[in-house]
Amino acid sequence: MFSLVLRRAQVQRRLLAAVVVLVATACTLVGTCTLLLDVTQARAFREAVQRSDPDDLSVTAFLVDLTSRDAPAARDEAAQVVGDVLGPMRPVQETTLTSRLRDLEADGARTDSQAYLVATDALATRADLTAGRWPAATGGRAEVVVPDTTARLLGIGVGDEVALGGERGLGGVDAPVPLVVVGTFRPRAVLEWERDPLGGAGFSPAYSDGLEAASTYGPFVVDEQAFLDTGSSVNALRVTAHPALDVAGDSSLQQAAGLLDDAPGLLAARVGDRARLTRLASDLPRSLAHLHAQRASTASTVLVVLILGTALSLAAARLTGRLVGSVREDERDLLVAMGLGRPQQLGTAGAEAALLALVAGAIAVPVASLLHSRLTHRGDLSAAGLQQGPVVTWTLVGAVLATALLLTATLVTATLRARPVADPSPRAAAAGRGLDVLLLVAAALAWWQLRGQPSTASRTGDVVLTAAPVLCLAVLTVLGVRLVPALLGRAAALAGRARGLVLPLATQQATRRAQASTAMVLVAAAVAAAVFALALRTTWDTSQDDQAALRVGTDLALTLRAPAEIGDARRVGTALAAQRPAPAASPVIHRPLALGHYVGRQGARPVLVAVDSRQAGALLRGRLAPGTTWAGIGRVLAPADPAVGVPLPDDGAGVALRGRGPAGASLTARVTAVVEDRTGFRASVPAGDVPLDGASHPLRWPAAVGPGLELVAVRLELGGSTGAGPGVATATTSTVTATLTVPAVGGTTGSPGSRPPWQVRPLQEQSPVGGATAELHAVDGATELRTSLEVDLDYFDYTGADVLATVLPVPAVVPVAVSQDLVDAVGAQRGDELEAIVGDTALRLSVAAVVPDVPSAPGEVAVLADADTLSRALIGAGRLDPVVDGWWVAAPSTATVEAVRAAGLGTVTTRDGVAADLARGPLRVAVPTTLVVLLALAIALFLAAVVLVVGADRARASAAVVRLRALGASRRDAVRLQLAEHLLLLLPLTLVGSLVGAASTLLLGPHLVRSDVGAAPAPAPVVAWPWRAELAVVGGLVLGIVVVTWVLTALLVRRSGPSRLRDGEL
Amino acid sequence: MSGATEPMVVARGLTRTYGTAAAPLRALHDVSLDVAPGEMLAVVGRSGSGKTTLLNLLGGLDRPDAGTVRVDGAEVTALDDEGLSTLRRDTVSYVFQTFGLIPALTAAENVGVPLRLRRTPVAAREQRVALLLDLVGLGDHALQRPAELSGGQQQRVAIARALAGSPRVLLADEPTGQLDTETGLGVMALLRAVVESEGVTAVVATHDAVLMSLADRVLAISDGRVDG
Repeated sequence: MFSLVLRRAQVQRRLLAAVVVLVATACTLVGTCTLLLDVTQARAFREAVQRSDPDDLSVTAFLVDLTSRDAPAARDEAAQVVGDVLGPMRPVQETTLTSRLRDLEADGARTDSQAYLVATDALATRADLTAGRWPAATGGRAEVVVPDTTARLLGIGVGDEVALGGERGLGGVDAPVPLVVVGTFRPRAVLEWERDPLGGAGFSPAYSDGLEAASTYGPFVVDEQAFLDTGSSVNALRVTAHPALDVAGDSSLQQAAGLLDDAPGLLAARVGDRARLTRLASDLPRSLAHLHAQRASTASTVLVVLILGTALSLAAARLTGRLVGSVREDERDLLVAMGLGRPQQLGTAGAEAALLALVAGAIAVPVASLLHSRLTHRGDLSAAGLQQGPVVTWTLVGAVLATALLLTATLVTATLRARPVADPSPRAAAAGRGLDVLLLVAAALAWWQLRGQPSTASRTGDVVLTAAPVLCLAVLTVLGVRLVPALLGRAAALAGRARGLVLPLATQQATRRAQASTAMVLVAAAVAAAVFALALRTTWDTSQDDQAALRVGTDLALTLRAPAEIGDARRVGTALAAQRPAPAASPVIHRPLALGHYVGRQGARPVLVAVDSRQAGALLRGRLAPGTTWAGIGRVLAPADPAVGVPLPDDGAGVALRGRGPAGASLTARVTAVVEDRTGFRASVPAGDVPLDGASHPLRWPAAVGPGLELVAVRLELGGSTGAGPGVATATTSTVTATLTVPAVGGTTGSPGSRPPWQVRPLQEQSPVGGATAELHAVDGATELRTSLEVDLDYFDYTGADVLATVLPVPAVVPVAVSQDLVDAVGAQRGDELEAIVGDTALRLSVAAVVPDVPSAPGEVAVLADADTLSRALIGAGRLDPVVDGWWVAAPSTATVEAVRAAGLGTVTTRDGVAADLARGPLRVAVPTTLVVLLALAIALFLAAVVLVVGADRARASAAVVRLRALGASRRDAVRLQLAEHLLLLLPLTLVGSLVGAASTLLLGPHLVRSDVGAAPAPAPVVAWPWRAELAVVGGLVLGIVVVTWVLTALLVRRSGPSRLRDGEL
Repeated sequence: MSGATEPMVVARGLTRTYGTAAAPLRALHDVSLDVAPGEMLAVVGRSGSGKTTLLNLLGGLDRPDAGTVRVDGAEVTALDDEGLSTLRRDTVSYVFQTFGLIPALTAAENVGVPLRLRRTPVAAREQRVALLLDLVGLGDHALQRPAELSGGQQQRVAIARALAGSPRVLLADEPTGQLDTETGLGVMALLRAVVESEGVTAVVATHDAVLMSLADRVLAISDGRVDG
C-alpha cells in the first residue's frame, strides 16, 4: 500500500502540494508563536531585567551603631553576605559610612548647628565635582568635600579649614575632627541621595535623628580611611550589592530571591554584636514576582491566539480533507470494492499523514524561524529591543511536528469519511439541535467563568483565560453559521419565482453545497478571528493607554523624594519656561490619609490627591462617566477667590519685625512666613527668633528665598517671660503687638485698602490669646502688617502663644471628589461630610462629586481636592510643613520632559512612557504582535478556504457548465451562475463571521485584557472599535472573495469543453 | 427519408482531432450526413468510434477542425459563442447519457431551466413544465429532486427538459446507456413518441439494437468514419 501512496502522491502532486502549503502555513504560525512564547519571552525577560532600576534588584545590608574600630570587619562580613546572595550575577558593591551628628564649630566654638561625616565609594558616580578635587587619605588633617549648598550657607570654599566638634547624644566621641576642604560637589539626582540624612540637600533647618532638631549641614565627605582614623562612631554602615544586569537571568534571580530568606539571619550571625542592629533589605523578590506576573499574563494571551490559530487550522485541514476525499472518492470505492479493509485504509492514511507532516514540518521549521526573526526586527518587537536572528530550538521542532501531525491526521482522516448527507434524517437533525444547545451552554459557562475572574492576579484564572475565549468564539461561529442555510433557503424560495435562471439556480446550489458545513465554519471563523484580532488589539492598546493615563494622572508627573521647597518650585518653573504656549502645570499633593475610622486595606491606604482644580480640564487624565468632564469636576472643587498676599522683596531683603510686650516682659517671637509664588505654590520659611523689645529686627532667612514671592501668612510663636513667672496671678490681660514691615517691591506699596483683609487665628486648642487683630497699612515705602493680641498673662508663661496671621480665607470644609471605591468602602454619597486625617491634621471634607477613579490612584479609595483649598485648610490648622509632593504638567513638549528630568528633582513619569511600557514593553509586546500574526493567519486561511470552496471538484463543476451551455446558457450566464453561487454562499458567511467577531469582542474582549501583572485593569477596559481598519479588513476579504471567485470561475468556464460531459453528475 | 424539403441538419466533411500534434487522436474524419425534418437518425458505433464527437459538433458544443454544419438553415460552424448559445437555446437541445439533471432542483424546476434561460413568463413556464411532465408521465413527481427519482424517471425528466424550449433538433447521446433494458425501452419509446408528436428531428447516438429499430435511419460510424 505504501507504493500506492507514493504513486498517488505523484499523480496528485499539485493537490498534495496545496495540502502541504496549507499545513506548513498553519505550522509556521504555531512555530512562530512558540518562538514568541519561548525564545522571545526569555529574551524579553532579560531585556526587562536590563531595563529595571538597578535598585529594584539590589541587596542592601544595614548595620546601625558601630565603633570605627569594628566597622572594617563588619563591613567585610556584610559585603560577603550580600555578595553571596547575588553571587552568579557579578555584583558590584558600594559601601557608605555615616557618622553620628557632631557639633558644627565656628572659630573654635560650638554652635547650635550640627553636621555629619560620610565616607562612600560611590561619590564619583553620584555627584559632580564643582570645585577642587575628591578627597584622599593623607594621614594628616582629613580632606573633605561638601555639597555646594553647604559650602554656600557656611561660607566655606576650597582650602578652608573647618572643624566638627564632639558627637551629640550619650556616649559620643568627644574628640573634634579637623578638616580641610579640598572640593565641592553637586549631587546628580535627588533620588540617588535618598539614604543621605539630608537627602543630598546639603542643609536642613530642623533635622532630627531622634534628638533635638537643629540646623544641620552635610554631608562632609571624607575618604574611608580618614573616616575611620577620626574614631567617629558609625551611625549607619550600608553595603549595597547591585547585580550586573546583563548577566542577570531568571534562574539566577530566582536563586538570589531564595537566598534572601536566610540572608538576614546570616548577616546578624556574622556581624554579631559589632552592630546594635542589622537589617537586610531588597526589592528583588517583589520585582521578580512583578516580572513573572507580566510574563505569565502575556503568555496567557498569546496562548489564546495560538489555540485560536490552531483551531482555525484544524478546520482548514478538515475542509481540505473533505475536498481531497471527494477527489479520491472513486478510487476509494474501487479499493473498498476490491476488499480494502478499514485497518488498511487507516494504515495508508497514517503513512500518508506522516509523510505530509514531515514535508510540511521540514518547510515550516525554517520558515517559522525566519519569520520570527523578521518579526523581531520590525516594529514593536524591534523597538522593545527583542531583535533576534533565526533560531531553531527543540521546542520549535516539537511544536511544529506535533501540529503538522495533528493537522495531517485530521486532514487524511477526513478523506476517509463518507460524503456528508445533504439532508440529514430527522433524528440526526434533532441530535444536531441538541448538540447546539449543549455547545451554547458550554460557551455560556465559559464566558461566565471568564467574567468572574478575580480582580487580582491569579494563576488559577489562566486556564479560564486561555480556554474560554476559544470555546466561546468557536461556539458562536458554529451557531452563527447555522443561520446561513436557513437564510439561503429562504432566499432560494423567493428567487424561485423569478423568470431568469441565474439567481434561482445559484441560491439553490449555494443552499445545498455538499461540503458546506466545514467550509462555512472555516470561512466564518476566519473572518471572526480577523475581526476579533483587530478589535482586541485596539481594545488592548486603548486599555493600556487608559491604564497609563489613570496611573500617571496627567501627562507628566514629577514625584519629589521629599516635600517641595521654594527652590524646587523655581527649578520646575525654569524647566517649563521654554515651552510656548506655557503648559498647564500644578503642584500636587499626593499622600495617604485616614477617613474617620477607615484606614484602608493592608497596603492600600486611602489616598489624597490635590491639584490646581482650575486647571483640572487640561491637567487630569482618566475616564469619567459620559457627560462628565474633569473641568466640570474641577469647577466644583475650586476655591472662590484667589489669595492676594503682600509682595516680598527679592530674597526677603529688608523684611523686619517690631514688637512689644507688656512692661517688664521679655518676649520673643519665632517667625515662620508662608510664601506663595506666581503658580500658587506655597511654602513655609523659618525666619528666626525676634525679641519683642520695641525695636525693629530684620528677619533672618535661612537661605535666599528668591524673587517673585508673596507673603500670605505669618506664624508667630510667642515665648519668653512675662516677668510675673508661672502661676503668679496678674490682674489683667495685656496687649502684645507685632508689626511686620515689608519694603515695597518696585517702589510702590499699592493700596492696602484694595486688598483682602488679614485675620489672626490662635493655633492652640486652649490659647491665652483673647482678641486679636491684623491690619495692613501702607507707610513710607513699605507695607506694614500690624498684629495686636490680647494675651492672658496668667497662662502665657505656661503655654506661650501660637497665632497665625493670614490673608487666606480658611475653608470650614474641603470639597472633594471621591472615587467609586471610596463610595463602596465607606458608603459616602454626594453631599456627605467626611472626617479626614492628613498627617496629624484633622480636616472636614465634603463630597462634591463621585468619579470612577481619582487620577494617579487607580482602583484605590481616594479623594481629589483642590490644592489651594487644601493648603488653606492645612495652614489654617497650623500645618505649615511643606505638603507639595510633586508637579503635574499637561501636554509637555519633548524638550520640557527632558528639562524636567534634567532638573534632577525626583522621578519623572510620563503618560506616554507608561503607556509605551505597558503596551510595548519587552514582556508585553508579544500580545499585540501575536494578534497581528493571528490576523494574518486568519486572512490567509480565509483566502485558502475560498480557493478550496470555489475550486473544489472542478471536474463536476466543469461538467455542470458544459451541460448548462448545452441547454442554451451563454458563457456569460455560466460565469454569472458560478459567481453568484459562490458569492451567495461566501458573502453571508463573511457577514456572519464579522458579526461573530464583533459579538466575541464585545463579550470577551474586556475580559481578556489584563494589567501588566495579570490583574483586572483600572479603569475597566471598554471595547474600542478600529472602524476603518475593520472595514478595510472585511472589505478586503469581500474583495478577495470576488477576485478569487471571478478568476477561478472564468478559468473554469473557459476550460469547460465537451470532453467533460461524462464527468459525473451536475 | 428523402424528399424535396431542405434537410434539417447538414454536415459536410467534418473532421475533429484531439490530442497533441505529436500524438494526434482523430475522432472524426470527413463525415458528412443529412437529416431530414422530423427524421429520427440513429448513430451507431462502438465506444470511441466518434458518436459523441459528432453530436457535439452538430449541436455546436465543439468546433470541427474542418467541415461545416448547418442546422435549420443556420451555419453552425460560422456562429460565434453568443450565436451558438442562441442556437442551443432555441433550435437544438440535448439529452445526455448521465441525465445531466441539477440535483438542487426539483423535477419541475429542472424541466423549467431552458424556459428560464429564455426568460419565459412564470405562468407560461409553469404551464409548459406541467404539460411536459404529464407528457413523460411524471406529473406526480414534479416536486421530487433527482436523487428521489429512478434512473428511468430521471431520463424522462431530461427528455422533458430537452423538449421544454420546443427545439427543432434533439440530440441524444446514449440516452439509455445507464438504464436497464426494460427501462431503456420505455425511454426510447417515449423518445420516439415525442419526436413524432412534437415534430422534432432527432439524432440519437446509441449501440442499443432496440433503439436502432425505432429509428427511421441508422448511420454507422467506426474509427471516426461513416461506414459504407
